[in-house]
Amino acid sequence: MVNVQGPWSPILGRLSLGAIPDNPIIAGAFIFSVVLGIVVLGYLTYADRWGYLWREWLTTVDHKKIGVMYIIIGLVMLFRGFVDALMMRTQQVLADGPHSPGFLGAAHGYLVPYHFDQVYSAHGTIMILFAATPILVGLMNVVVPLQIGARDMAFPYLNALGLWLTAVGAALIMLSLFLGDFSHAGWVGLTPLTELAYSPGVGTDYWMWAIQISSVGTTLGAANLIATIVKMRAPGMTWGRLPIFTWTALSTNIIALTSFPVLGVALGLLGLDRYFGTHFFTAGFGGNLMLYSDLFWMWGHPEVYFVILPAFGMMSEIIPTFSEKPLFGYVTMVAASFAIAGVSWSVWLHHFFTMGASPRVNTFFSVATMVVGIPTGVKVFNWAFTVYRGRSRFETPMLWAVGALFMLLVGGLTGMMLAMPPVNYSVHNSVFVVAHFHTMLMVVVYGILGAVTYWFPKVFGFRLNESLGKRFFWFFTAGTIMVFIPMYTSGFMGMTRRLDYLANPALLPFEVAEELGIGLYLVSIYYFVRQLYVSLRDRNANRVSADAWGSARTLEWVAPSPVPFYNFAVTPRVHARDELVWRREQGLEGAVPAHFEDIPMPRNTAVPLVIGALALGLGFGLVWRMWWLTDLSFVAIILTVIARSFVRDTDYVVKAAEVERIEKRLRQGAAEAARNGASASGIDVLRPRESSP
Amino acid sequence: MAHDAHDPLKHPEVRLVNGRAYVAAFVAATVLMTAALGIAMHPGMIPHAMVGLSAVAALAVTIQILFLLQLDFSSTQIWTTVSFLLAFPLFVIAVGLSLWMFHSLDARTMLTALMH
Ligand code: HEM
Ligand SMILES: [Cu+2]
Repeated sequence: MVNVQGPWSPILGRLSLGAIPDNPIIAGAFIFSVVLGIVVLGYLTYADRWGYLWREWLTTVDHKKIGVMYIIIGLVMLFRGFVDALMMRTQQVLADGPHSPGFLGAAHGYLVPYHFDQVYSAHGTIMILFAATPILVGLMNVVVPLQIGARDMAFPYLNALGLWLTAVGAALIMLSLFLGDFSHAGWVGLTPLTELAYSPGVGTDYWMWAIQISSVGTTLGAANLIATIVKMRAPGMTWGRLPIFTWTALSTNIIALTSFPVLGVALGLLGLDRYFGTHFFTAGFGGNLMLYSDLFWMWGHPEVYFVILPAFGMMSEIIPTFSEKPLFGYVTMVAASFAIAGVSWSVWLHHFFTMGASPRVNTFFSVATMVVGIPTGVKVFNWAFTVYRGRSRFETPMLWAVGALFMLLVGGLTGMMLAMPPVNYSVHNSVFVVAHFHTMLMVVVYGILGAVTYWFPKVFGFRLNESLGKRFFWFFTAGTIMVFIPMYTSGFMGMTRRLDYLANPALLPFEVAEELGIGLYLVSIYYFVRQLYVSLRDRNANRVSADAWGSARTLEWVAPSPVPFYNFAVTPRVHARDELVWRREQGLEGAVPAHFEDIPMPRNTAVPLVIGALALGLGFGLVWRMWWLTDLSFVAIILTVIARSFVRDTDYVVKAAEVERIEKRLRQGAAEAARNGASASGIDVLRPRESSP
Repeated sequence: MAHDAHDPLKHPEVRLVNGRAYVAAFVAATVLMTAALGIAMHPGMIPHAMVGLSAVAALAVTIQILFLLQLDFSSTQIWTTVSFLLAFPLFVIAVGLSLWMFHSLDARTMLTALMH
C-alpha cells in the first residue's frame, strides 16, 4: 500500500473539511442540487409517493421500468455533461489572446486550468459512459424483449443489478463535484498523468472507480441481453425474422462483453499503480505508459461502435415505419452490423498513429479502419433505398433519423480523413478530431432522441407533442451546425484540443460562432423540457392504440400501449419478419386471444438496490482510502449475493382471470380511456399499476 | 419461458453444479499457481522457464474449462463453448497486433530507455 500525500486518518481516510471546494460556481451547483433535492423529496413526501416509488421503481425487476430508469439517469447526466460543455465553450470564447479579461481568479476567462481540466475530463467521461451508454442500454432493455416476444429479460435480477451499478458510477461523479475534485487527465486518462506522482489527489480515483464500477454493470447487462436474444425468442421468431434493432443490440452487446473487460484490466492495473505502488504505466522503473494507450483504445474503439450500432438499429426501425415500406436489404443490414462489430476489434491503433509505431503497423491499421467504411456505406445506401419511392412522413422520429443520416455522412467522411496516417499526423490532437467524434456521437444522440420519441407511446401509452418536438429538433440541429462547422475549421487552422487559453486571436470568430451554437442548444433543451411537460399534461388527448404510428411494422407494436407489465397476454406466435404488417394483411390486427393462461413473473427485490448502495460505499471508501468502509462494503456485498442465492421464492403467478381483466380494460382503447379520463394500466408514470406482486 | 422456467434449480445450466469438480479445480489451480510462482521466483530451476510457465498456464486453463466451467458440446453448453472458442481469434488479434506494434516501438520511440 503506498503512502499518499497529505493527512490521513483511520476513520475518515483522506477526507477532511478541506475537501469541500470553495468556488462560487460549484457553490451555485451545490445550492441548485440541494434545492432540487428538497423539491423532489418534499413532493414525494407531500404526495405520499414513497411507497409507490419503492414498490414500482426502486425494487422493480421489470425490464421496461429498468430501461426507463436507465434513460432517466442518462438524461440527467446528459444535462450535466451539457453544462460542462457550456462552461468550456464560454471559457474558450472569453480567453482569446493576451488581452482577454480574466474573472474569478483566472488569468484569462473565468476558469483556472485546474478547473477547466476537470470540466473537460468530466464532460467526456460523462457523455460517453454515463449519458450515451445508459440511454442505449435503457432503450435496448425496453425494446428488445418486446421485439422478440419475451416477458422479460433472461435475468431480471441481474438486470436491476446492472442498473444500480451504473447509478453508482454516476453518483460517484456527481459526488466528486462537491467533495474533493475530479480527474484532470481527460476522459481517456492520459498516462502517466493519471499516476500518483502527477495526480496525487482523489480526482483520478473518482474517475477510475466510477468507470470501473459502472462498467461491471454494463458487462452484466451485455451478458443478459445476449442471453435474452439467444434464448428467449417467441415461437416463430427465427433468426431471419429478428427485427433489425434486436440484431444490432446483439452485435453491440457482443462488443461490450468482449471489450469492457479490457477496460477493467487497464483501470485495474492503473489502480495497482496508484494503490500498491506497482509500475505498470509509470514513467520509469520499467513502466510502459504506451501500454496504457494500447489497452485503453482496445476497449475505446469497440466502445465507439458499441454506442453507434444501436443507433443504426434505431434508424433501421424508424425509417421503414415512416416510409411505409419494408427495410431495404435486411440481410445485408445484419451482415453489415456484424462486419462493423468484427472489424472494430482491429482498428484501435488509429487513436495513436502518432505514437511512433512503424509505417507498416500504421498502414495496417489505416487500411483496417477504412474497411469499416464499406459496411457503413452499405447501411447508408440501404436506408436511402428504403426512403426511395416510399410514402415518407416527416414526423419527429423520422426527422431525427434522417438527421442522423446526415451526421453519419459528415462524421464518417472526416473519420476516413483521420484514418490516413499522413493526414492524421497534421490534425491529431486538434479540435478537428473533436469535431469528428462529436459528429459521430451526434448520430447516436439523434438516434436516441428519435428512438425515445418513437417508442415513448409504447411504454407510456401516449405520444409526445409533435410541434414542440419539431422545434426541439430544428434548434438542436441549428446548434449542431453552429458549433461543429467552426470547430472543424479551427481544427484545420491548428487549434489543439483541451485549451483553456487560445493564444491566437484569429480563432475568436469561430469561438463566437460556437458560443452562439451552444446557445441554440440551450433553446432546444427548453423546448425538450416543454415538450415533456405539455405531453404529460395533455396525455389523455394523445392516447394511442397498440400501433402508435399507424404504420409500425415489428412485433412490439402488437402488444397494447402502454405495455402491461407482463408484455404479451399470451406468448405471440411469429409469422413474418414484419409481424405487424403480416397481421394487418391477414386482417388479424387487434385479434384477441381466445383464452388466457397463468403467467409466472419475477418478484420485486430490493437486493440489487442494496448491492448498489454497498458498491457506492466501496467506491467512496476506495476514493478516500477509508479502509474500514471498503472492507465492510466488500464483505457485505459478497454476503448479500450469497444470501440472495438462498431465496427460493423469486416468482409469482398472475392468474389467467387477472390477465383477462387487464387486457379487456386495455382494449377499451385510447379513445375511450381519454373520454372517461381513466388512464390505462401498464407502467403509467402517474398511477401505480394495479396488481403489485 | 412459460414452462417451468421459474424454478431456477430446474435449469440445465444450474444442474451442472458439481461440488467435487469444483474442489478438484480449486486444488489443481492452487497447486499449479504455486508451481508457476516457484518458476517465476527461481527461473533457473527448470531449463526453459518461459516454456514451463506457459505449459503450467495452459494446464491451469484446461482444468478450469473442464472442471469449473464444464464446457462441452452438449445442447446446454454449446452456446457457451462456442462463445469461448470465438474469443480466441480476438485474443490473437488483441495480443498479436499489440506485440507487433511494441516489437519495434521501443526502438523507435526510445522511451523505455529513457525511463530508467
Ligand atoms: C467510418 C468510421 C470511422 C472512422 C474511419 C474513424 C476514424 C477515427 C480516427 C482515425 C480517429 C483518431 C483521430 C486522432 O486522434 O488523431 C478517431 C477518433 C475518434 N472517433 Fe472515430 N472513426 C469512425 C467512426 C467513429 C464512430 C462511429 C464514433 C463514435 C460514435 C467515433 C468516435 C471517435 C472518438 C470518440 C474519437 C477520439 C477520442 C479521443 O481522442 O478522445 N468514431 N476516429
Ligand atoms: Cu476509433
